[in-house]
Parts: sequence; structure tokens; C-alpha cells
Amino acid sequence: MTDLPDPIQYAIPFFIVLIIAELIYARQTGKAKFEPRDSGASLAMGLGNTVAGIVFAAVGATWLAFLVPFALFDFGWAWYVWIACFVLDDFVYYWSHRFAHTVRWFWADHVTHHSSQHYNLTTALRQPWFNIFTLKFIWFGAWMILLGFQPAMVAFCGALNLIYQFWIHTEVIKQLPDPIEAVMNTPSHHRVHHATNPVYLDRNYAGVFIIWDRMFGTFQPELSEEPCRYGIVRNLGTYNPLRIAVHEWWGIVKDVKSAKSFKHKLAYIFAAPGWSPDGSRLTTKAIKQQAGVDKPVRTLQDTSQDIAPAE
Amino acid sequence: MAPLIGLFLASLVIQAAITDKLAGPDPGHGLRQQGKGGGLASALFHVKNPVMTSLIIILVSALAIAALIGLNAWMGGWTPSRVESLEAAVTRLRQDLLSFEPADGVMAKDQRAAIILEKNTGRIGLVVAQGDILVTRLITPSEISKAEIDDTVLALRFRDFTFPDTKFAFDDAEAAAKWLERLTGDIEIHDRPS
Repeated sequence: MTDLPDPIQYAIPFFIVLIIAELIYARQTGKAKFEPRDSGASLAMGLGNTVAGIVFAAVGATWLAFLVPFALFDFGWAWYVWIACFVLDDFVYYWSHRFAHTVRWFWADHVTHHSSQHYNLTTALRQPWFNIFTLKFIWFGAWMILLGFQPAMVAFCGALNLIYQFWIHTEVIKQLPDPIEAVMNTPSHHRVHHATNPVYLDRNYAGVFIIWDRMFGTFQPELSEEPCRYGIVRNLGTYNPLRIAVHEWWGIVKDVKSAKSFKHKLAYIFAAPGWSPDGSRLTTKAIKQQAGVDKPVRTLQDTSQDIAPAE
Repeated sequence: MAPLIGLFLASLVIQAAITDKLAGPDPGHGLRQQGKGGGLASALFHVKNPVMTSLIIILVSALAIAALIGLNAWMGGWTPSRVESLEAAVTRLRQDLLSFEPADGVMAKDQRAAIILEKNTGRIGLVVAQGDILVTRLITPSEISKAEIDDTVLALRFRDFTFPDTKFAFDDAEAAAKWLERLTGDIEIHDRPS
């Protein structure tokens, strides 16, 4: 199997330099917020993610190596194949990310990344530890290999995708020129993704290209009249990385244990986050309906009712 | 400047060490990365054992993280959060819970927490300051795992392990005892006037 360098490994020093630069800029201008314990939790989550990657690496590698002989085609290494691979990998990322928000089993893993009420470059590194349990590498990691892309190429493009997403986790950059905002995922678009305001919830799943959200109806622009409030619907009051990593998994275990039927057990695992048999908890859909923002809006005046939470 | 240079050098070591060998395949993509460059880690540590090198990467990363946290703490720039008023606490609860109808409420003397009972439900709205943020919960008395009074201070622990232990300082011991009773469901709390 062809080997390529892992660009993420080369990017680590630049991640650190950029975090330091943002820290200094935040201190001097007040345009970004850092809190040591929050930053520490995020960075510790990133370290744990790396450790988990090393520990569980062989599992994913074995699976993909197993798939290679079943590939429909062999697209080779031509330059245009690289471009196609990068774009298609981003398309896969969009759907993987969308499922990570809409299926609790995947959300239990991904919630980690959203669990900070801060939004700075350290938040980008707040990554889950138990990704392997979701088995996402089986569902989403396979089809490009089966189509005929080289595993090394897919891995390289996936790494570039993740590197791209690092710098968009910032409040320092407000808006980029319109053509860029139209095509690319930007800090503005991704702030929306991390916000819990009803109008922003579960929007902008893009990795690199925001066009997927525009195509599939999940794009929501950042509204000047609605500042982003970051975090999750039920925010965490802990900086303990282990608690951050396991809290939603533990929530699933408790809910499944208390469920009164097998159907409810399955729904607690695979329905949307916030699902409950009696509707006592709120899913994103219910929250948006209550707030009158079911569909993406260009301005808050587009909504039929006030954006303020229901009385 | 020295800490910054130190951090950058540490990060270079991490990068070199990783590139030198270790990072195995990413489970999402499944490739074994066998870096071709970066002999810095080996040069520095003369380590060939992948397990040992992994441990070094983790150790150096942990040190770099500690340095970043230290830098963040040293530079300051954040303000400890406070619950400004009961009205602010209600606003925050409504923001987080979408619908919340307040009954009676109380603020901790140090403005680091507020308790507001929900009208007609017996549930308890909590707003607690942590670092420079506020965290909220709507709970039932059964979700309080421990409630103790030490003179005027009511200490609460919750079954939710993602919510911090909270201390409320009251003006007097009588008020603390009264709120302990209300929170633990010992007396009727429905429909108290706001």
C-alpha cells in the first residue's frame, strides 16, 4: 500500500503558533475569549483523541485494507483524481457530519466537539475519544475506497479537510469577501454551526465547501442581529475531559436502561438527540418549531414570530 | 517571549516525533503512516521503540498543553462570571430552556449562583457561574444527591456529573434551612408567588 505523509502531523506546530497568536490577539483586542480551564479541557480532549487514534488505528486500517480488493475501479494517481477525491471526500464529510448531529449514536461522540461555550482555536482541537465505537469508519470510510480511490489518497485528502477546519474556529475573523463566503466554509459559517440559538441549531455541516449546505437546504448565514451563543442545548458544567468524553454515552446507557419497550430503547440510541417517548425533552426540530425558525432565514424578519424563546 | 519559543520548539518536537514514526493509521481512513522525514525525535531521544516514542509524544504534548494553559492563565483577559440579578437568571433559563415560568427565587450572596423554582411544576431552575460562563439546569428534587447546610451556606451536589457542586451563601441560617427544605421537596413548592 502506498505511503503518504500525514499532513496533520506537520500542521501541529502551526496549530500551536496560531493558538498563541489568537491568545495574544484576544488579550489585546478582546475580540476572542479564552478561559484557561476551558482551553485546557479542549487541548486535553485533543491529546486524548490522538492517543485513541494510535490505540485504535489498526482497526480502521484493517477494515479499509480488507475493502481494497473489492474496489470497482482503480482511479490511480492522476492530478484530476486528487481533485475529485478531495471534493468527494468533503461530500462524504458533509453527510457524516450531518448524521453526527441527527443520530444520537453518532452525536454521543461528536457532542464533545461542541461542548465548549467558548469558540476559539482550542475548540477545534476538542475532539472525541471514542470515535471508534460509532463504527463510522465502516459506514462512511468505505465507499470511496470501494469506488476506486487509493486509500492513501483518501486519507491524505481527509487530513487536509481537517486541517482546513482548524482555522475556521475563531471569532477573530468576521466576514471574508463574498465569493469566498459563497463557496467555502468560513469562520462565519462555522460559528453558526457551533451556536445553540434556535435559528442556528443544526445548520452548516460543511467541512471545506459550504456548497453542500446550500445544495441540501441546511445553510444558514450568520445574522448580525443574532449573536451566536456557543455550546450545546444542555451545556456542561465540567472541565473534566473524561466526563466530557463519556457524558452522552452514559446518557444513552441510562435512557436505554430505563426504557419501557424495545422500540424505545432503539429510539434512545438511534433517534435524534433530545428524543424522548413523552416529548419531555426537545429535539432540534422541536426547538426550531417552538421558536418559529424551522427553515433557514436570511434575516430574523423572515420569521413569522419573534425569535425569542416561547413563553 | 521565552515561553512562546519554548512552546514552538516543543511543538516541533511533537511533530518530528510523530512524523518519525508513530502515528499509526487514522481509524477514519485507515492508513499506516510511515513518515519519511523527521529524525529529530530519534536524534533527541535515541528511541526506536514505537511504544516508547508514543509515550514521549504524549508526554511532550502534555507539557505543551500545560504551557499553553499556563500562558492563558498568565495573560488573563477573562472575567469570572456572575449572576447579575434574578431577572438575568430567569432570562438565561428561558434562553436555554425555551420556556420557563418562574416562581420564587434566590441569589447566592456572592452572585455565583441562583435558584429559581418553576411555577406549577415543582422543578428547580439553577444558574451557576463557572469560570467566565454560566451553566443552567432544570432539575427535580430527586436529582439532588446531597444537600448540606453549614450555618448560612447550603452545599448541593447533583446526580448529573456534568453539573458542578454548588455552594449558596445566604444572609442567615434560617433562609438556608428554608431553601434546603424547598429544594429537597420537604414542603409544597407549587405556585409560590414571585
